[in-house]
Amino acid sequence: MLLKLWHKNKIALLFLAPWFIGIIVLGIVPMIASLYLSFTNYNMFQAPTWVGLSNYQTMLFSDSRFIQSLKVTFIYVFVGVPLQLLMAFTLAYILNKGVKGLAGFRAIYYVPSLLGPSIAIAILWRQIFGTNGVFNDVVSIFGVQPNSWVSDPSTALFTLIVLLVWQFGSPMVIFLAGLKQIPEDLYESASIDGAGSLTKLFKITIPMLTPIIFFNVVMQIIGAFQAFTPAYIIGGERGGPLDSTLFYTLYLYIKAFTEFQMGYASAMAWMLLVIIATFTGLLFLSAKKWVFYGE
Amino acid sequence: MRVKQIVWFLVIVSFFFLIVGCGGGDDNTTASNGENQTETNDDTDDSEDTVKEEVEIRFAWWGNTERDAIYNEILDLYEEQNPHVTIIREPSGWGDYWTRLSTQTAGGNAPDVFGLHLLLYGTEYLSKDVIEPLDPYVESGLISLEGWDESVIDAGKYNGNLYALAKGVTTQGLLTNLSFIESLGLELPSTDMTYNELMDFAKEAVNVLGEDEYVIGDPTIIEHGIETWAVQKGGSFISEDGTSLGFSKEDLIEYWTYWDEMRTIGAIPSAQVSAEYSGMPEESTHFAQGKAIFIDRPINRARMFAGYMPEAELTIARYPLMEDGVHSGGEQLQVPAIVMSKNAKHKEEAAKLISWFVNDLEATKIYNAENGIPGTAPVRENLQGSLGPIEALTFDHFEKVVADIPATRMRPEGSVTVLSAYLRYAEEVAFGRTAIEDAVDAFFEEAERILAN
Amino acid sequence: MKNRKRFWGITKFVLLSIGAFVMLYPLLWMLSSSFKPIHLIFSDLSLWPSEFTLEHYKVGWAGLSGYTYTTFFKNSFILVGLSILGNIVACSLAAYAFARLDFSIKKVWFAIMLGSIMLPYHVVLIPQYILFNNLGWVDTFLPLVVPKFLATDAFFIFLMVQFIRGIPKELDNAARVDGCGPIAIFAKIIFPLMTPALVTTAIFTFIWTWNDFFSQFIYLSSPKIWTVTLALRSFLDAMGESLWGAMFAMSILSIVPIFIFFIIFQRLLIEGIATTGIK
Repeated sequence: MLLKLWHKNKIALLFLAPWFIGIIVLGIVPMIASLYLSFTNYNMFQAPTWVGLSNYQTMLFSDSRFIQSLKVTFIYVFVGVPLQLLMAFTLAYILNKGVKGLAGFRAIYYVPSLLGPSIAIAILWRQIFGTNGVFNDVVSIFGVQPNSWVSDPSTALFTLIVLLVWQFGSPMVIFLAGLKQIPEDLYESASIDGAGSLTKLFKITIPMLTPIIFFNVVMQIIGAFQAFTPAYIIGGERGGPLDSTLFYTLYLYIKAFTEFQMGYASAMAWMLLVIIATFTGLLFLSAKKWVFYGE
Repeated sequence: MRVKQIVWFLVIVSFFFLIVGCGGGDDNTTASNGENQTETNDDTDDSEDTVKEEVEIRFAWWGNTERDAIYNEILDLYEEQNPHVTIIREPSGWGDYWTRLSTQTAGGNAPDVFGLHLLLYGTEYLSKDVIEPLDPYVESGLISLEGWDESVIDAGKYNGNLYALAKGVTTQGLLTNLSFIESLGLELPSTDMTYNELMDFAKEAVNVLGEDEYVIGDPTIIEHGIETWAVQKGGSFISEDGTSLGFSKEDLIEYWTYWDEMRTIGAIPSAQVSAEYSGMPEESTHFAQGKAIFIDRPINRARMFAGYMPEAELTIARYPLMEDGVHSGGEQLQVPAIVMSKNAKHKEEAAKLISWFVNDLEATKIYNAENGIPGTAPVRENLQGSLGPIEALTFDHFEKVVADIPATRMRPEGSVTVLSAYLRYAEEVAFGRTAIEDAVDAFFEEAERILAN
Repeated sequence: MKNRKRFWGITKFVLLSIGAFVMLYPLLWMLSSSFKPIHLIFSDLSLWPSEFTLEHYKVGWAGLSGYTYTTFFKNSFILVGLSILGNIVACSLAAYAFARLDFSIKKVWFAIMLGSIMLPYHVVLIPQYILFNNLGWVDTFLPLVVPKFLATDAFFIFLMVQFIRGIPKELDNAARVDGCGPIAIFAKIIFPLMTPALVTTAIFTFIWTWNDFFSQFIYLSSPKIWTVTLALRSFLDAMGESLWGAMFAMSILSIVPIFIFFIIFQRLLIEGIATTGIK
């Protein structure tokens, strides 16, 4: 029996050996440790004390900031990610072929993603979307009242979504790589059949790209749920104004490293894992219907 | 099969590490609490000519590149004077410093000697048995407290034990732009204004202030404002036993109402303007841009602001006084201190370094009151000659304040959580989202729930 | 028809150019800030500095604690180079197994792999730190590099899996008929054909490792092994004075290598496939 198992798996094990060590030592073990801590009071410096489900109860039933952080994060994920992916796909499609000087444009459009959410960007963002910022100058052309977009609680999150959309470079590059993988002869034979560019887009490009679209959707959703740096650096560490940029992981970080409640933070982490896993699971289930592999 | 075995081996090993690591904090409690250090001290001391064991001491601080240069110069000097000591330096910026320090401490790998901001994080560390008490080293003479102000020594005590020595001390004050006042055709009533005088002054000032110009930033959305008010009322932010708030609902209503009026008349910025500037560099504040009369900041930053606004004449005024208060002045000492980790490997050497760092005249001369006013008279006197005008002002102001305020106590455990709740409700009030009375009720309810745990 | 096409082409070009300006604005702003004297950085919002200074570059490059940016750039390059190597080797091996090989409870392992990136980093930090500390690896590059060789970046495994699944299986079958085993198939067919994914991995690993602040900061505490990203942060002090000009100047320099790397590798991304091309 064991021997059979060995024979079946030995080749795969050869390829997976480094990954196995990594996932167990650096993945599963710390995860189990954090799962354990989620049932404890742990101030980081002294041994944790078991409190059962208490962290989870507090979180779900009596922590209004937790609910607020969920709200903020859901808006960020479900408004920001679709916009960002749409942007990434459109530009990848345009920049894939056609216009002269494409390589230059590709590089330029990737610049925002090179910068990352750095402090310089944080300062810049506050200037652009501040009272005297460029953004007001631009929107005033369309008759929009000037505002301090970063510090108005009803628009602060919107500026962070703009940042996410603006840094669409990574999914764009992945889309580009995917577009390159589509065999040219498919387009050639379609042209012979007299298909227009829109037909090609919907009958060839998008179906052939579905594995990559699927990948981008899954990964961007996982990433956006865990978004931390934009809120931490640009939102000003506390999630203000009025908790309007209190991202889930920012609140988790505050609990862990400012308030020294690592047990509570661990419980929040596992709750987030369940939420993300649910959405990812649904995506994988739906994938059978719309993702086409060349196998 | 070998791969699987290796995997299992690694799992077991890593579990083992985890358990050992987590227990690390507790082991030390028993190991290092005894008197054995004081005994060993005697051996290592005055044996100058014997070859000393090579030791490495890890030293961590927060600050920027300029501070790094100062620290390195000081620590190089120490290495020169003590060739057997190598100091491993771990500098970092303010915000990141605390994340790394808590991770290192949790992992049983805290630096041997490090900076600790007592008002903000003191209790979180001192109450958890990760910091070495310094009393035995003071007794054995390795650490000298000669000429130290009693109030500054007290600020480093927790539960009666001395844990921390001040690298410098500072306190909240009103940095004042005299040139701006003059250009407005106004006159500063005095550098010891009461809240009422400040209000009268503000009412006069708003008539002549231009657009986007203010008397002062909104103090309700930073923690020192309410803490000072509570002390002036005879209380504290959180009661001494850490179970309830240290002020009454009426106190808070009165406080918020006072500043709400200031906001209404335009003396302080609206909540939205304040939020726009939160987290922005000091260089871009209204004050630094010459668009505010005062800014409430730790007074040792006067030097920094003077650098930003070379044309303006600055002075330092007291944080507003409360004439009918229990204490008219309520400023707290803010103490960036130096402490020793319980895990430190060479404790006597670490103690010597700490003592030298805060007492040695040459070292403190290089340091030049960089992180606040020195807590020891000999060091202050030694610096007198080399002070610029604004620093001299800072020193004088500090001496005036220290003589007038009640003792500073470290905030009890849990105060960080209560403070963040306070700041949220203060912001709600500032934005006009919640009426003052409702916000006070809600804050008290939440604070009591937090403190009950 | 022809006119419409030309009109369309010009419109596209104009729109792309406007977009390009929006994309480049922050870079231009940083560039201009890096040449402004300190008192103008926050008061003069124009892109063209009214006064020029090179001081920030001089002050900035001098670095701190006796280490200049030469050291920090060298450290960043070492870290990034090893990370790219690790990710490409380890992730492609694992991805091949997940995409093409059969093994017990494969779906469960795949779920665990994705699950491992769903838990916020902050709560696994301390267990990992304790592990690395006990191995004596803290304050070396090892805690940052070794995980890459253990394929802990599930993002790239998943990416490669998606690409490998896009490679027609007939190619594998044909090779098998020629007598190739799984190892030969991986080395001769899959690995070369997944060039776009490998290039993408290299680009992202470069940028993300270069910019990654949090884990570098936790594990690299001595300035002598600091990276550019860590050194940049040290110009700032939220509690005191910050050297904004120097920070902007060095930020500009720190972008240069990533940008060059991107430009070179994105050519590979576009051209590489043409030479290996799927027939």
